[in-house]
Amino acid sequence: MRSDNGVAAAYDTPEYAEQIDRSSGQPFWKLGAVVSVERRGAQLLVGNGDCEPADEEAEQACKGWREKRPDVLLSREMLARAIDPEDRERFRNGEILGYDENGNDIPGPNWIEPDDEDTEEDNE
Amino acid sequence: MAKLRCKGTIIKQTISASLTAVAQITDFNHDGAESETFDATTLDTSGAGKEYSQTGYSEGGNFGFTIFYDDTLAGHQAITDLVTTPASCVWNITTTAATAAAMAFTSAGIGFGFTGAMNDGLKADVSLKITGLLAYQT
Repeated sequence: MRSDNGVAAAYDTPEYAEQIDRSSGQPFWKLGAVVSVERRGAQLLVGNGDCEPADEEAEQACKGWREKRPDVLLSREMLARAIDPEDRERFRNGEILGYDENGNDIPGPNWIEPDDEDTEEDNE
Repeated sequence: MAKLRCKGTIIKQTISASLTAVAQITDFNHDGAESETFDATTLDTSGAGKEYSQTGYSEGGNFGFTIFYDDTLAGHQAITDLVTTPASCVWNITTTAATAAAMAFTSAGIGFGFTGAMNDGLKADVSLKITGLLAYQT
């Protein structure tokens, strides 16, 4: 389980207490927490990049997940950083890493300086 | 006091054991909660003004959002699963406030439709009927 996943109320139980991080004031799964979920839940969570199969049964439920893993993790990372749909291509290209606290772009390794026209359009 | 930008707002849905962010949201809205009142006017009410009082109940309203719809995306499939297999679902909204805690609500019902247009990407509108009330910050 990723550590930026909140804990569903039904799982916030003594059984999972050791795997839950409450330091932010909200219950989040600790990185690598192992939880038991139903088949469809496993497919959705793995398909969404929230977690990876932890046993053979889960592997069987999520066939092909390893091949899709790089794309899924990239998408999940964009989700975690709240990348605007219109900026997803720029994130994929390494132009931005995300946004600062004021909502401005955080330049990535392939950052491209916006030309004056772009800036003017943004300001309009 | 602060003016909060919407960019970076995160809306999470419950998928099995996890609360995880919904991808590709472009806008969202809450159509308004409302405290319920009844007409408390009586024949001996003084003045012309009708009187109302509280029933003690409040309507939670509906929460809606629009997404660029990707039908192969597991997170979006989790939303349509609520149409094919109706169930309650807990959602969280985290604003961009520096000290924001999640505002939680439970949906009892869901509306889901999608639209395509020549000059736009495939989009879906999701409408959630809130049961109880959204947990506002206090």
